[in-house]
Amino acid sequence: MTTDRTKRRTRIPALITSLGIAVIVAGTGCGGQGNDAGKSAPKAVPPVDFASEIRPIFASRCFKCHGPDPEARQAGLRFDVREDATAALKSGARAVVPGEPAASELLRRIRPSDPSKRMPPPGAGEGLTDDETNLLRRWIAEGAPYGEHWSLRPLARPALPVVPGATGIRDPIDLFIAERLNAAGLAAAPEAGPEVLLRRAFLDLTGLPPTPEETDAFFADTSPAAFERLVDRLLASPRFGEHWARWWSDLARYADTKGYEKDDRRTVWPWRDWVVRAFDADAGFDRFATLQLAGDLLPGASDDDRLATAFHRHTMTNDEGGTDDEEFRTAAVVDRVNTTGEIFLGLTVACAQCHTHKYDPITQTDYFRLFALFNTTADADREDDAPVLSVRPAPVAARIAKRREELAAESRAAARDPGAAAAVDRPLLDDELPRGARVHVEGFGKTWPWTDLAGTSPPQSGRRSFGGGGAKAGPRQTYLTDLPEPIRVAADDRLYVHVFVSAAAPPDEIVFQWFSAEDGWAHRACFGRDTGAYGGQEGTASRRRLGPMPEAGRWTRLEIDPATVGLLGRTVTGWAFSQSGGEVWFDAAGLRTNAARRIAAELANLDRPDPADVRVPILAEQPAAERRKTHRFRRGSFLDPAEEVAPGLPAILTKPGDAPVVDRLELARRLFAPDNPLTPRVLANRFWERMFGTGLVETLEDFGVQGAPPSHPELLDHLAISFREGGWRLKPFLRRIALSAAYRRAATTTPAALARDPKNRLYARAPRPRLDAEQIRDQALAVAGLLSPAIGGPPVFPPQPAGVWSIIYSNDDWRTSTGPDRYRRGLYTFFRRTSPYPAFQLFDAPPRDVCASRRLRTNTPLQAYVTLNDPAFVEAAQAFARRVIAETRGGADARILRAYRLLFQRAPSDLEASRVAAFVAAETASFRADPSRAVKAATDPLGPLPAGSHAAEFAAWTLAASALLNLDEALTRP
Amino acid sequence: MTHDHDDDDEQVRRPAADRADRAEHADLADGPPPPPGPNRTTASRRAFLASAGFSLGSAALASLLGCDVRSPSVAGTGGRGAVPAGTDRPSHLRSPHFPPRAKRVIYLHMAGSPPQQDLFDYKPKLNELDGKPCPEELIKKERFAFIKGRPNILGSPYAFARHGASGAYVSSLLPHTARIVDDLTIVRSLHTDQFNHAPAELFLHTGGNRPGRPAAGAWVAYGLGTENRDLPAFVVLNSGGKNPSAGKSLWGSGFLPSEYQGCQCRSQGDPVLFAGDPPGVDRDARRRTLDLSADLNRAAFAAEGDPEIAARIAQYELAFRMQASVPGAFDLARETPETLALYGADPARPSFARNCLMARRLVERGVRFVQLFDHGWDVHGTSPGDDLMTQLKTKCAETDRPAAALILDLKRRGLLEDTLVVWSGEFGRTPMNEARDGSKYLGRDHHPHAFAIWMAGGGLKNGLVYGETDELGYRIVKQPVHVHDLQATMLHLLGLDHERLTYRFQGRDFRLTDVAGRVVKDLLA
Repeated sequence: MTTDRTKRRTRIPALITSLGIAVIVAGTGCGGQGNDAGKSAPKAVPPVDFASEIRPIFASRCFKCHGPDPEARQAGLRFDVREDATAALKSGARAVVPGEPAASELLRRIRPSDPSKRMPPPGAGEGLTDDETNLLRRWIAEGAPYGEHWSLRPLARPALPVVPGATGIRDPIDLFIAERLNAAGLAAAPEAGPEVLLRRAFLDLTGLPPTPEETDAFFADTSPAAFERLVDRLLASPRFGEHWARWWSDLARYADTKGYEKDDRRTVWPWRDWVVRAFDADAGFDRFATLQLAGDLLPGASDDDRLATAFHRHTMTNDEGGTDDEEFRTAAVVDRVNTTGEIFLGLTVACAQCHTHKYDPITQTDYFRLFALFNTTADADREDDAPVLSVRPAPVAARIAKRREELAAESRAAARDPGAAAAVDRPLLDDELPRGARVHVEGFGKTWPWTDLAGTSPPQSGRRSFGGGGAKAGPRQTYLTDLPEPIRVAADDRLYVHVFVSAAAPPDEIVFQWFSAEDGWAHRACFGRDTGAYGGQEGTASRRRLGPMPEAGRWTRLEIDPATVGLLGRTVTGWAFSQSGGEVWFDAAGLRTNAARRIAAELANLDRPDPADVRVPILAEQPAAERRKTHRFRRGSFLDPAEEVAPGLPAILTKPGDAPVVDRLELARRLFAPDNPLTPRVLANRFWERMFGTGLVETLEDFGVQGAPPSHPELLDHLAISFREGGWRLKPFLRRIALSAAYRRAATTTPAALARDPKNRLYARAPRPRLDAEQIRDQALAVAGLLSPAIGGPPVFPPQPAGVWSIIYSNDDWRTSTGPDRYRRGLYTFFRRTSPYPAFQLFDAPPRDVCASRRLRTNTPLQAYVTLNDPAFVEAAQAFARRVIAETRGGADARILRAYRLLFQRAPSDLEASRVAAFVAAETASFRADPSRAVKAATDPLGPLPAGSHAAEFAAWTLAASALLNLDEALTRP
Repeated sequence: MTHDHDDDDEQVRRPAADRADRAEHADLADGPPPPPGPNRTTASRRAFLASAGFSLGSAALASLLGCDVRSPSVAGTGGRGAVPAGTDRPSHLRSPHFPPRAKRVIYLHMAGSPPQQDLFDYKPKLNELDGKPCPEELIKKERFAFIKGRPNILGSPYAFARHGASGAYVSSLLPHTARIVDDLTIVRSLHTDQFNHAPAELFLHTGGNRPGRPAAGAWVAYGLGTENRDLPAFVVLNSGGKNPSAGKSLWGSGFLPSEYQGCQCRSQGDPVLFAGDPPGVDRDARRRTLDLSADLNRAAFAAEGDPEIAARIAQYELAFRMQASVPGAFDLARETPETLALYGADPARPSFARNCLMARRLVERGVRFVQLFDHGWDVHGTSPGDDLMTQLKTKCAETDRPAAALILDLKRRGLLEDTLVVWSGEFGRTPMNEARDGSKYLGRDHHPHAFAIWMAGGGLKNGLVYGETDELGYRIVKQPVHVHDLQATMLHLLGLDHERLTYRFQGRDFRLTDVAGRVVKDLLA
């Protein structure tokens, strides 16, 4: 383990030394100022640490007027730079005189004899406490050394603590935790019971509770490695990716609408599915991030790489009339800068948009360097969300792949058997219109005149034909254009169509017309007398008379030689069926062709865009010649540009000799470069928070001087290095955390322990965070046996109260999904920014207008209404009750046991069982007295009970199920 | 003076909690002491707990039995400053910074923005120049939402007259408002930075033009807490058939904890989402189900010791009480026919009138901030559905009587003296006829440079007409009041210093007035 304990103890001076800053060792210069430092034996007191002890005082009390921002700076004094803090001021005084507290104006001003001269001035903030004053005095006495802010210090591998008498150490993580617990005199809680560990690991890693089978499998495994094996199973579960994609969606501000006033829909769910797959594949967070920030810039970028860049197209766009596209394009770029800074660097750069950061060393120019990196993409707040990537939904891709296989098989068969290669019909139109074609109807009403010729004749083939007409003279026609699978015509092919001429009212003329790109509609085949109704030159391909009116009262197959209508070598994309007066029906039209050609044509068509393909907004760079220049905006306004700024990183993230960062791809590489300490610290902290409810740095989003300092700095660095050295792979990293003793502790606490560490910052016990909004619903659906296992695809619309979507400028309706889509996991619920799903919103889901690092966990009475009364939860309680009754034999005890096993993976205590049993007995009696109430409680909205059931019994168990689903234990991760 | 009968009088005008009490409440995760007892199965639960062998102190046991559910004493973490783990309470909730003049707010927002030239800002010059091209300098460098080219001046088609002792001008569209001008403070010199609905509405209510910041009501609830623990502190009611353009971001809590977000009560059906018990579950069954949950939760609390469990029990109890108090608070059947007639409210029909009456009932019960939005004021003049001659008349007819009735009703109940009422749009409208695509209907485009609002109630100078625009009503020439100034003034009346009511987020101290705003002292009594 550690070889040099002293070295670790004095880590800060060591680090500072490594930065080439002189360090005055503790003990020197302390004597003179006497009241506190002098009392301690000099060697026992470590020197004051600037970063963790002094800088926070400056940040909270002084930086506002004496910090990095030159515009806000008073008296030319700044405390964030040592040279300035120690320089002579106009008055001649020096705020900080290293080694000489008595000469330092700073100490005089925070404790002046005249209270009106106090710093910070009365009204600008509270005065410094005695402790803070003493700390400053000691620090000055020690020579006033400066150090870098903790989060910017290079990552150095901390030595592992030696903790005498430490027990139950499973991972180095536990040593860091034990060291602090020992120092605080707190005892760690014992390991939680297996049922708690099971539920905890399931909820943290997959977001769902275990199924009964999974519970049984875990309890059946009696080896010491059972929990380890469980964690491995969970990391490999397809539910893992869904759970973490939902988490990432808050950071990425993923939504299914564009935001702002109109808040129209946007198709971007394929990105969400990409994220699910990426978490499951776990190819490294560096790759995950790089693809999303700059997948389009990778050499040989695939469509999947480009799809990842939709990450930064989740910015809002404003489609309202009269808005300035440039204003909102700029707002989107600003959001990309802020989001990138927050997620990967923990830097709240937002304020630097308008002015140099008041607290962190980020200038406004730094901000616009980052801005420049994002300012040259082609998107520009356009209504069509261009540029977009066409993405083929998985079911369509599967259908096409299957068809391709079929065609390959047919092709092989045709090759084997020349007889099979003879002419075959390739139908264009029989009982269905070709998918994706544009449909036109003239003279028949508004829709395609399908008919089964009832009472006249059956269709020539299939279920139906089309056409008709009436006594009225004059032209009528139906036609198709923009055929998605155009027809290429060879010399020995024949166009065919079946016609049925009415005996009672035969038309004067029937005409078939084809549309080619080259000649338009100038391809007509005419039957009957020339009525001149459809144009063209009689006797030419544009009006070729091919015969008399076919015999009435029966189906006739007409075959047209393409040469006669000028279609040789043409590509047909439109076909019209026209008549002059009378009644006629058509059926089964298409191309009679050679089998090999038919297969080849269809294969070619399979490569064309499919109408079901979706268009996902992505990032793409502007062409070099059009690339935007970036200017600093005065006070952040896009209407007030100042000097031009070149792309790059903020100065704090660069060092002399670094290659310039000129594009997003280089930015992504630098985020994950070995010399960047911020990204690994920030990410390791985010994952820790997901597993422990609170980050080692509580402000996940802010690692700057205004953010919280880490509770366990060495542990954070240890984890950051571990994550980086593990190839940025998430699953092994989470596995380490999950298998630590700290993660496995019981959550049980006592008033005394609570008083010692109310926020559990020392991790003596496990946290009990409330489940996230989506988890609460997913869990209810899962234990009810309703949850759909489907992964991915377009968003769904589970029931929500009527009227929630009455939004201005939008006639968009919430059409409640039916079937399994009613019961999908929460991450698939349609997310409308101006009106998020109410049950999620009430449980603190953010609106996803901007990046959200943390969800505040509130506890409000309105949440109780969701889990008690929302029809989705009522339905789940009814199904849960039915499931418990169906899956058990015997009395109430067996049912209660089953319910507890399903929901809590444990048996109820005797007291719990008897209390629930008494409740069910009383409620059953009460419902018996009022059967109609019982039926409502047991079936609305889930539906009728199984035949022969007693409604009162089901109603009573429904209420019990609802009570259990509302328990703190159900709403909380144990 | 007529007072309506209210069969739940005990809830009405509950005295404000004293400062210490409020401060304590604000810090705690739980709700208030519950009201005198509904039908509880206390005996059986006592037996259950006794048999569970709980070894809690008597105070804690009392609290668990529903006598007092203040969690810190339950958890044993001591003092009133204790914040139970995991509740994310902001640590610096405050009493007012100085003695307030108003304790609550009713904000009447005419969403879409009424034309000030046709209601409060009388401009005879417009009628003189009616139909003539507007002066070139008005449209130079100006961005309009819809106006193109050089538009024509549009005089108001409605007559103006002076009213009340103050002699304030009000148009013939607002006869009821005209009768109460001496109770109003009319400001004709509001101006904003935004000229599209959603950003301007956000700017007015949250201080920022994009979604994500807390609404004024959330700030006030955060700063002052609530006076009735059976109802939300910040309630939103909408009329006109649509939500306002910017949607729920207008009453969001932004980065404040979400318990401060506006509680949008619906104008039809259940006023609170999901507050109704499911079919087949009556009040007694609900009570017994909650008793079951509470008993099982108490057992968990005894085992786990997590104060959040006690907080959860308390919130379920508050939810139960709200189920009782919300329908009462919203039940207009309890109002006399005289009051219904005063407002012109039909209890069965959603309307602005109904919402005004609701607002009075809510503030009467201690709700801190009631926000009304009435949709349909965006009078561009592209059709009779959005023009000055038909739509504006309709909107005025729908809102004039109830808004005036609200002032009269608050006054006769003694509530107006410490209730602040504000009536406004989100921006003004142009003195020019929009005539989009040559429309023959009269209408006005969006105009951020000047608009007129009125305020009434606690701490304001009554009968004051403040601010002045130029003779065309295009620009302010005297006493401009920026939206941030209005916000600062509202907070000031509530006893809050807009520069001190802050919340740290993303490394910055945010406030409602962003980085600007001044209290308009001229408006204060």
